[in-house]
Amino acid sequence: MKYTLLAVALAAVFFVPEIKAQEKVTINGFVKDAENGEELIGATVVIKELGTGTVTNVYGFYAVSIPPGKYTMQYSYIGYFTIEKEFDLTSDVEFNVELPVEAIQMDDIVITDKPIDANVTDIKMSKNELDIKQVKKLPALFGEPDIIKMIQMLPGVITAGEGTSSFFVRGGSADQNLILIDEAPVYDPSHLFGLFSVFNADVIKDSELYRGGIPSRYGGRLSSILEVRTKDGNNKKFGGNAGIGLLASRVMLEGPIKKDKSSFIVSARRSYVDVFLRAAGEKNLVHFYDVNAKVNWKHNNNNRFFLAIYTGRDVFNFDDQFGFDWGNATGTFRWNHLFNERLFSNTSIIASNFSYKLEQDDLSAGFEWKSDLKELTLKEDLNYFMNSTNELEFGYHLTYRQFSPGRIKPTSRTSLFAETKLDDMFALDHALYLGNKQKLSERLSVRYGVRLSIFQNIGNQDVYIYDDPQDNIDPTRIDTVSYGDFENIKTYVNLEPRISARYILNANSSIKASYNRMAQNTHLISSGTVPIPFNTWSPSSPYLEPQLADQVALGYFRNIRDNTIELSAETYYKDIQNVTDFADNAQLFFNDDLSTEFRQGDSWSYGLELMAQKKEGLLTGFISYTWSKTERDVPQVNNDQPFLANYDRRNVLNVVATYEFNDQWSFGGNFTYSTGRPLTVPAGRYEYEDYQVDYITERNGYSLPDFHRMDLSATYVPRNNKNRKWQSSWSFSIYNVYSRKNAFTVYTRTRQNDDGDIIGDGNEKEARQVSLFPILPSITYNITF
Amino acid sequence: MKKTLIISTMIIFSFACEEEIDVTLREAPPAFVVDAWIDNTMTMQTVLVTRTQAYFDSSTPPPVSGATVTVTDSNGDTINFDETEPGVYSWNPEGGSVAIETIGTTYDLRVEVEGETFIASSQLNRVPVIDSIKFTFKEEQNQFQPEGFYGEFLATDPVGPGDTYWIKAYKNGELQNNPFDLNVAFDAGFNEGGNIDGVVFIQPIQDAVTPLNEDLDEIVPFVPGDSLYVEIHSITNEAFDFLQQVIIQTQRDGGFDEIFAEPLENVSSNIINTNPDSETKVVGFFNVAAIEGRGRRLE
Repeated sequence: MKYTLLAVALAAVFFVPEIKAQEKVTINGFVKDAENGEELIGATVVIKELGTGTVTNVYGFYAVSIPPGKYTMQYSYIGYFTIEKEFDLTSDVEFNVELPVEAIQMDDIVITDKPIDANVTDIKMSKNELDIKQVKKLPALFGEPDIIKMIQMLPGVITAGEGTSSFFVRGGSADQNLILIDEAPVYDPSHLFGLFSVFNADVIKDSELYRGGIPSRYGGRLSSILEVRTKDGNNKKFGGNAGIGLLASRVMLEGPIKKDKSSFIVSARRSYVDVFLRAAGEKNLVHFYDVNAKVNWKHNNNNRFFLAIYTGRDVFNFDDQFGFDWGNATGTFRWNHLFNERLFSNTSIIASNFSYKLEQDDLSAGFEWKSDLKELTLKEDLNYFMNSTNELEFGYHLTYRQFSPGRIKPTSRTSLFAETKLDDMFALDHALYLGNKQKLSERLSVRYGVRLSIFQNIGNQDVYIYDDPQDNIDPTRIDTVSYGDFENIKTYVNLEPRISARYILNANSSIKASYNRMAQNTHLISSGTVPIPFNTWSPSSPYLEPQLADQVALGYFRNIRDNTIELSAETYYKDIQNVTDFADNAQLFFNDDLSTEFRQGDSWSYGLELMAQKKEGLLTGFISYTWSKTERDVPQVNNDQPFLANYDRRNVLNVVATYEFNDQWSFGGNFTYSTGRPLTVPAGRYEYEDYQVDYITERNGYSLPDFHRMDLSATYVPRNNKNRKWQSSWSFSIYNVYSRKNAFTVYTRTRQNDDGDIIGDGNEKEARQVSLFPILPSITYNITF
Repeated sequence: MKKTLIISTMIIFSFACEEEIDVTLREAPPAFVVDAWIDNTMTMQTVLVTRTQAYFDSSTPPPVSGATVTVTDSNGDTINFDETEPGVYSWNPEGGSVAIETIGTTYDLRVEVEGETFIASSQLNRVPVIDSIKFTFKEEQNQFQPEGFYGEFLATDPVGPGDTYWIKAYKNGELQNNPFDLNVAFDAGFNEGGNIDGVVFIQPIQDAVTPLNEDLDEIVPFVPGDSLYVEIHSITNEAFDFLQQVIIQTQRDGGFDEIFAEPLENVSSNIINTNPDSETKVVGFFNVAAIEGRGRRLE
């Protein structure tokens, strides 16, 4: 039945009858930034006479097919001036337009500065774009602007605690977010265990977070898609910037290789605390770095090529005795091709590698432990701009993954470690999708689609058959089935319907609704609240079923004050089947019988999200409020009773604002308040063979105290900049302005004094609260040239 | 993994601060605790029956009187444990008709108390003899390992995977029982994954018989006149898992890395309430160990 549906759907795509009744012409092209030639994603294109239009796709391309005639085309994008141009269309026209940031004079086009109403008119809901320019003006921990910290302020997004890079979207755990840099997945976005993310603000062009209403071209994770796109590099003039902060410094260079045709960008960031530490004779050293590089070549309007790479790593070394490192490396090759004026194609080859290593140098106990996850993806995505009311997108994605959960090698002949290796696991992931954005009436537009996910766990692998597959205390293998290279072990097929609808109530308000189903076949093996880089991933397998999420969302959107303030209210309900959890006291590291620790169950979450946002003007920013609740019910976990998710926070309020005071000074501020996250604490204690053992009755039964914090920042641009070839600026940040001791976590122990000496007879217990950051000022110096 | 987190925590989060706080914990209905660790020696064997107590209650564990405690072996012989003081149920094997001696015998524990019946099962497993105890003088290695005499024991795990042991050390006759001294072995290595079978116990296990100081921040070497007595107890694989969980729980260091840590969970128990519908909970463990021991005095 499922397959029949798909066949029909695919047939519909490839045999769409050309509507010949009325002759149509197509106007298409790219919308770009006038200053640096960067393509603008999601720019609005409106045909004023028809009151209809489109938005540019993720490559900045637009196309509209309309009857011949005289039209006024209007091109607009947030933060840019709007351009209007008249056309007398008699045949197909290619028109690339560059939107200015500053007012300029040009012939035959009209430039206005009118706020746009995308919040109300766009079909998309549960989605936020992040303005990297604003992120740079906001307060930053240790002066490093971080897009993930901004994401953690959005409605529907929860953070486990300050100083972490994980985020939790609408009741989903941290591994349910698909984090993409130039379409390549990043498996661990953290530096220094989450203090910063891997995204260097210098190279980010644009980023967006989907937490619902997810288009059918995305798949593979249950809860959100974070797409980060890097700059293509200025194709008009050479330039760059550099910054020196307290913890790290950055440099970025960009410029044309051939003007207007090809460009490059390279950027590097490195922390340098270790340099000072080494000078001070400290032997425990830590550093991280990121390198981003991209070249793009626009052969002509019909063929464009991009090559982007990212690599970053954290390296810890303790007295040359013990060390570890982790990092991601990704590469993306893209070919944008226009088959004809209405059919846009993007072909990508994407590679991603996440790896970590732990090493101990010791004669008797020296070892090297390595683990990695490699993937290679081929994607073919097509946009077909059928007519002014239908825009089809369809494509095929194929991914090959190799999971190497661990291999241990002795580092010396005398080491007690024997060379051991956990079995590699392999998977092939196919996805076929089809979606259409259709304007049904002046008021009603829908976007509907379906994604067919065919997942295969493949060889070569030995699959163990257990007497009781869930007996993790004493796993008993009764048989082993060997599979050869690429031999199918288990196939899971999931059909993921996606639908969003928008109904315009009046000129400045609309309601939107969406439903989506998502499937996830890559599971993070971690039972902590926040994953650590040393966690491994596993594919769906005979012992691990795909996780499935169904989500419905309903929203009301309204713009006030001539579209300058955008308001939204959304509610959602999300139900997850087969959410991956683990047995009590699970042994998740280097376990040959890892599959016996898997427990899958249900999770459900619901909430209300309110947001007010002001994107233009001297004062910009947003206020978001989220009420949500997330529970889990996993057999054999918490005595089979439902429990609150680790990251459940009932109320979250965030305020983010920046203010342009004058040409020299601008200011920024954050405020965040949230109710405490749940925690498991012992309810009682007992003695066993003279050992004091905790007695736990309930998982996540205790709540941490409320969390709140305010941060402030100021950016100063010296007056003498105007006469120089380069410009400088200073960024000042104060983190946790009123130095609140926020509870990061609470734990219990035998009562001890400050030196760690046990007080009394060792029978007394105490609870301790850990707070991370007191007031922390920082300063960063930036230059741009 | 643990070490990694501790070290990195120290470095990155030097800003972090900690303080004692008052927390109000929800009172849980007390559960029965059965501490039944018996062995094949001719010493008095005891089973303790107590109740869990509130977490911040530092009084002695509340004993449970009036229980009937028996152990029946696979030959059908039954041993009765009699209450000698409140909550303490004892059996003296000296001169009795039943003995715990044959490797491979299965033992079933039965505790009847306040209308509930708890059962558990264990097997007497083989244990290797200790060939020697030795003391070695070592220079100061670092601040945790000062100069002095370090003890170690020498024993060989019998061939065949799946033997599990608890190694106990007595210094001057006193059992070293702080959580960091808890020393268990799977065959001759730390755990099953090590695949170290049929050889001499790995060095860190041999070395772990030199105890830590009270504050658990420094090893205390032996001085002339000190004695060291080492016992190897054979335990079931379930008991090995149980003890490992006790180690993880009692050595949990708290602090920043709690957020990355596995959720706090009850250590496992092999004591079962025969009435599955009963609301009464029971924790604890039953193990029957074969013991080999050897001692030496540092002259």
